[in-house]
This record gives sequence, structure tokens and C-alpha cells, in this order.
Amino acid sequence: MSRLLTLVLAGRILASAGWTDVTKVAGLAAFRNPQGSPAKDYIVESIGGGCAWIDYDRDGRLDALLVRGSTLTRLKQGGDPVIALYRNRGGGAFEDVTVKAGLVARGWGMGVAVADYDNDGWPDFVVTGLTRSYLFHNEGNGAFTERAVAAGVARQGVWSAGAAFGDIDLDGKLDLYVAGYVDVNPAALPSRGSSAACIYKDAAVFCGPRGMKPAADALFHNQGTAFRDVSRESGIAAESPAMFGLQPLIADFDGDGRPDIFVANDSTPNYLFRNEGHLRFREVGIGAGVAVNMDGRAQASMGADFADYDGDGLPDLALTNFSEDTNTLYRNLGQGLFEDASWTSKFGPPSWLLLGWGVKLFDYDLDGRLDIVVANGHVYPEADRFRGGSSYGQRLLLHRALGGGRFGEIGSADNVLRVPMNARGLATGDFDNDGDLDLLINNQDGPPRLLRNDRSPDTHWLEVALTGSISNRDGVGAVVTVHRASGRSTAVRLAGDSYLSSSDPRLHFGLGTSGEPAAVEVRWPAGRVQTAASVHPDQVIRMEEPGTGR
Amino acid sequence: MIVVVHALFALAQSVTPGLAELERMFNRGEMEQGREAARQLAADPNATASALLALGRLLGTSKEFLLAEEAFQRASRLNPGAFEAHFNLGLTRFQMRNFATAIAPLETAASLRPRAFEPNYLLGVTLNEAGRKADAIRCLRSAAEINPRHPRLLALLGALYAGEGYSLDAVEVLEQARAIDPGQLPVSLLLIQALHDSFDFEHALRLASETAGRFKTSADAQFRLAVELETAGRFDEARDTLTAALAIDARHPEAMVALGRMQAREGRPAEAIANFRAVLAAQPGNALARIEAAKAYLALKQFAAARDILAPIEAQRDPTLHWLLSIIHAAEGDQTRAATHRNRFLELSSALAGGMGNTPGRRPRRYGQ
Repeated sequence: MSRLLTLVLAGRILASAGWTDVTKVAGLAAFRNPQGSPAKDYIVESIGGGCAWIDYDRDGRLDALLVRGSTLTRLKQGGDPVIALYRNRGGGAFEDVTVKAGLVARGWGMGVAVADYDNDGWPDFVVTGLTRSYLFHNEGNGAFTERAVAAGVARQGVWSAGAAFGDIDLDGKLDLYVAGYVDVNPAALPSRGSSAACIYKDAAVFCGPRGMKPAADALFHNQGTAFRDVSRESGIAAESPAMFGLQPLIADFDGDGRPDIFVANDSTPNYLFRNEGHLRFREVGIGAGVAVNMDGRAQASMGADFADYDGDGLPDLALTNFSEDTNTLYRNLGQGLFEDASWTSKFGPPSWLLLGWGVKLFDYDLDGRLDIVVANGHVYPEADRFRGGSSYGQRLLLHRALGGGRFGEIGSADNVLRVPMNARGLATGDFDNDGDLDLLINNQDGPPRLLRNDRSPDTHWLEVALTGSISNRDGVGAVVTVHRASGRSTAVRLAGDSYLSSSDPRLHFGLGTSGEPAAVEVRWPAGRVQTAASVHPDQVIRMEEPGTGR
Repeated sequence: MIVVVHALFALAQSVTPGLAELERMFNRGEMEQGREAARQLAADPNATASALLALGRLLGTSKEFLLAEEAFQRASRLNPGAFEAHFNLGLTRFQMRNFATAIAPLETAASLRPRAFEPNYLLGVTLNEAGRKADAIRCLRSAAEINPRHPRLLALLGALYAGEGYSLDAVEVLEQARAIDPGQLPVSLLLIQALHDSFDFEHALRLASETAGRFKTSADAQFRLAVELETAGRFDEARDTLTAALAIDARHPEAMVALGRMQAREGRPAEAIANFRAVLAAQPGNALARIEAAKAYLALKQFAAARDILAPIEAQRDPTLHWLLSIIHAAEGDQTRAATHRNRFLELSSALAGGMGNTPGRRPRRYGQ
């Protein structure tokens, strides 16, 4: 064997378990997410944008969506194209098909949520924005049409942040929740340092969100091809004052079979709208224990994810927050009650100096336990001025599950993960179909990052792809449990999570090193429980909901 | 220092034969007779200003402040240009803790000798005691121009700057005070706080570490280090340092509350409650200890105990308090009161100042700008 070949093989072996930054080789490095001025004079320049994985052409390979912002100057001329679509050509390479796909709408993009809202088998997506939102319908021929106005979800003049799809009335059609952030006029924004709400430590910074008026959230009920705004009649808008909403999650938080709505609110208490049936909701965040952290303080909640980190079958809630504060992990106690386990789990303390956005619970090392990744980056460039505190560019956090509901942070020891970024959106997805979850991260102003995860070859995995028939076609809201001799893992199919992002529609499970067959159980949103026994590992298993009648 | 000043003026004056006898009376312990003789001397219509000054000084050194005040007051009226009369009148009233009435004669004394350190310094100290912080800073700055290396002046000026939000000015003068006398723990503690308030957490932590090492037997120094370690996110070290502080002073209230909070976070609410209860036994009005204790009771699902411990502070405008009361009332089935406190909590939380997150922001302030 030649020396060169030996080195190449050694390199492959070294890369076989760990992270590799493949942004450039994948062809994503040219993308930019402009978010106003580098000085960040206004709050509108600090929040976006999201990213998503979508198999828009159904070729079995995940394609990448990256939301693009703009600048205040360019917004006056209509702004920038709000989204970029990169088609996965296989072999680790992507191509920019944005224009070819008809994704030419302009504005100032914020977030993205992916789902097949019209059940035609082709994934669509919504992009939220500073001055309106966009609904891109997948025509099934490689192109999209923008239908937000006709569908009634454009939210003209409203700054919308995160969005999430979920079937709130279990009629088989996906409804849409959009979080409103701040009520602003981009042409008349308050100048930095102009009030007490525009001071960070002792530095004059952009104003808000405190001291500004929140924008209202909206709940849209799916009528088939269009949506109806049911915010008021559902109790969402009527029962609780508007807060600075960033990321909603639609999932069954109390185990009663009905999807509830959680909203991560920035610098104000979070909301949990309990689904009481008949399109009625009641806000129960305080009683459920998720409105504020265990100190009783409203945190600057940014991103959110909902997955079962402790293996008790109940999905738990992870939130990202501001610097000089901890990220929060709410353990699900059952019956709609949660307790703040940020300190006992050791998830919170490592985040103290970091400002978190995207967050995903995922089993990066396939050991059967969910780890947690958090994308970070400060909102104020002035953060670098304060010695011994936070910084503007920040590394990723990777909390490795140690068992017993505890985590150890390992990101600081990894050359790829510890590169400082100004990250916002984060989505997990197995873009190279090798059985592990990779990371797509959208950064402010700079290029994105695509981090390829190369699992250890002795580990095993399973991915579950859902197709609903009575339930919504994507199976959003389904709960999938994988049982094996060494334990069980539970995952919830979400469509809009992390921070302004959407992840791999397939639910991913690490199975450790045993390679034993597993049993897969799907609890569909419509209520039916379906089981597949003796499923061999290392495959994508497609579960189709039995029956018809949507 | 003030007594020294008193004695200084006393030595500079001649003593009349009547005063000599009066001094002997006080020395012999014949206090009532001495006071009566002093009253007669003070009332003598022929007494000169200098005689009254001498009498006042003798009475002052004998701690007969009321009589001394009377003598100095008459002396100042007889000779309005006599610096010593005004200064000693102000000094006597200061010693009697009549700060408000001490200000006028000290202002007169300072105006008569604007380049003298003592009247400016004492006036600054007195204004501070009277609660006139801004005026105190102005006077102490004048005094510091005359004597820029007076450690107690610098310490007081630093504390005043810090209290008024001029934390950068506080850092400057406290660093000077510490350079002159690094053995003064209060100065180091003030400086650490000023650095913290200036958001120079790195420097604050370094100094806190040095101070805790220098003053190993001071619970305050250990506690301050724990605060800075927690600010830096070094929570395990902070817990160990709080434990060290309590090993020195088992009843250090701030350390007990801080350690209790950590114990509660780490899933040990019963231990936390013991700490909070101990603090409340000594300080029943400690609202922070009550709120933290209530949180710990909630973790144990002891709702009645949580409600009872919050009862004395139920009217306060603290969002955390109303969050707790909402949970407690909901758990006890009183949904109406739960809803009232929930709405109060949302209202107070929404009205919090600051931009984003929970890091308090302050406008950059420099004295005089």
C-alpha cells in the first residue's frame, strides 16, 4: 500500500467518527443571510434567520432551505429574495435552484416551517418575514408558487418570527401558528441608546424588545387550500396579552391526544395554550411550569424543541435563552406538568455566557440517548467589549447525554464545533443518508455552515418516515417509540421547531452498538396505534397509517 | 481624626483661670458642679469669643456636647469671622449626630478657609450622613483636591460614586484608596462591587480572588468571591466558596441565601429551606429569603408553607412573588386568586425595564457629564 493511500485511509478513519465542516465542498458557502448593518443599530437586524431540510423533489435526499434577510435600505426597494433552495445532488454536493424553483419573492425573511399543508404529497413551506409572510406551494414539478395572500396567511405589515404546523382539531389538515415578535414600523425605528430599553450593560445598543409593543401571534385554521384566522375565537389572542413571540411548537404537551401550542416568548413569560377541543385553547403556562424558569424569572426564550431526553416516554422541552442566563430544560412529569431540570441535568450551566438560538435534541452518537445541540451568537456586537462576559461570535454547545438524565458539554473540545459564529437557525437532518444526523446552521451576515456527522461504524440506527392517511399526510404530531431490549426511545414529529427552522421529516433513532432488531410503534394523531415488530436496524422504515378517510 | 482636630484647636488657645478650675472639676469627676460652672461661664455677658471658644473646646473634650454647642454658638455670633467657632460648632453637632444642623456652620467654616482640608472633608461626611449624597460628592471632591491621598476620604467618595451610579468614577478613587492601603477590606469589597457594576467582570473576579486569599478569615470576602464566580458561570467553585464563607460565619445571611438557592436548583429543597429559615429567624423582613423559601416549598409541594412564608410580603410588586402566589392558589383550588396573581405576574413581567434578557442595562454615567 502506498504511503499516500495509507494517509488517505487514515484520514477517512479519523473522519469516521466526528464532525466535518463541509459547507464549501457542499456548495453552500456562497449563500449570505444579510441582516441589516454590521453595527446592528436596530432590533430588526438581530433576529433572523432560519433554515430547514426539505425533500422537495422526493428523490430521497434532503435539500436545504436557507432564509435570507435584507437591509433597511434594500427593503425600501422590496428587499432581498427571502429564501434560497439548494438541491441535494447526492455525493455531498448541492446546487442552488432557487430561481429555477420560482422562489423569487422578496422582502426580509425570518423563519421557515416545512409541511405538506394541502396533503398532496409534496412538501410546502411558509417563510415568515419582517413585513409579511410567504406560503410556497410545491407544484410537484420542481417549482413553487407563492400563495400567502390567497391562502390568508400573509400577515401584511406584521413582523412574524417562528412558525409551526400542527393539526389542532385533528381533521387531517395541518393548521398553522405564527409567532408575532415586535410591532415595528421599519421606516421609523427608535435609534440606539434612545431609552432605558436600549442599553446593554452600559453600552448604547439597539432598542427592544422591552419598551416596545409586542406583535400579536396568529393561529390559522386550515380550510383545505386556504386558512382562516381563528386567533380570537380560539382564545389565543383574547385570553392573554401579546408577548414577544419567537418560536412556537405544536405538540401534545399533556398527553390527552390533542395538540397544544407552546410559544417561546422573548424576555416575557412563555405561553402554553392547552387545547380544550372545538378549536378552543386556554393558556396554562404558569400552572404547567413552563412560563418561567425555576427562579420565577421570565427568560429571553428564543428556540425550542420537544423530545424525550430521559427515556421515560414523555417528551421534554428544551429552550434557549440570553447570555448571563442558562438555557432551560423542562422535564415532563406527565399530565401537563413540567419541572425545570436545567441544573440537575447539567444542561443549563454551560450555556451561561452564551446566547442561544437553534436547539435540537438528537442522538448524535447513536448511543440510544438524546444529546442536545445549541447554536449560539450574541445580538449585540458590543458584547465583545465586556471582558469576562459574553462575546459576539459564539461556538456551538453539544451536550452529550451521560445517562441518568444528565449531560456533559463537549463542544468546547471539538475543533469544528468550537468555531465562533453568529448563528440563528439550526436544523438536523441526515442529508447524506448515512444514518446519522448532520447540522445545518444559518448565520447572520456570513455564510451558513453544514456540519457532517460521521458516526462510529459500529453504531446502528433507524429512521422512520411517516405517511398519514386519516391523519395529516406528513404525520405531524405522531409519536413514534422504538422499543429494544436495552430500552426505548420516543420522538415526536414536529413541523417548525428549533429556532425559526424545520428539521428532517424522518424521525431518527440511535440504536447503540448491539444491532438487535427493534419494535417500532407509531401513535398517529388520529389516534390509531400501529406497530412494526422485529425491524432490522440501519434502514429508513416507512410507516403508512392504515385506513383512509381524511 | 475628628477628636484629633478637636485637640488641635484646644492646644492652640490660652486657658483662663476659670477654665482651669473647670477642667479640674471635670478631672475630679465633679460633673454636676462642673456643668453648673460651665453654664455660668457661658452665660457671662462679658465673655469674649476666644474665652467661649476655649470653654467650648474644654467641654467638648469632656464630652459635654450640649454645653459645648452653646459656647461655640455664642462664640460664632460674637465673632462671625472666627473659623474655629464655626468649625467646632459643626464638629460638635456632628459628634451629637445632629447632621442637619451641623451643615450650616461647616459650610461657613469651609467658605472661610476654602483651601483647608478638614472643613471640606467634614462637611462632605456630614452631608453624606444627612442623606445629601450629591452635595457630599461635591464637597469630598473639593477635599480630595486638597489632599488626594486620604484613604478614608477616597473610600467614602468611592462608595458615594458607586451608590449614585458613577461606577467608573468609583473604580478610579477606590483603586487609589486600595493602592494607599491594601489592608482595608471594606475598600477592596467596595472596589469589587464597583468593578462589577462597571461590567468589568474579569477584573472584579481577579480582585475578589486576591481579596479572598488575603482575608482568609473574612466571610464577606469569601461571599464576594462566590458572587463573582457565579457571575462568571463557575457555579461549582461558587458553591464551594459559599460553603467556605459559612464555615467562617455560619450566620452570614447573604451567603446562606445564595447557598440555599444553589441547593434548591440542584434538587435539594429541604436543605435550602433550612438555610432560608435560619436567615428569616434573624431577619424576618428579608423578602428575598421569603421568596426563595417559597420556591423550595413548592418543589416539595408544601403549598400551605409556601403561602404562609409569603404572607408578610404579599403586597409587594415583584413578578416572581405573584408567579408563586398564582401557583400556590391554583394548587389549593382557588382559581380566582390564581388568575388574579397570574395577571399581575404577566403585567409586572411585561413592564420590566431593559432591552433583551435579564442583564440590567444602565446608561453610561460619569460624574459631571
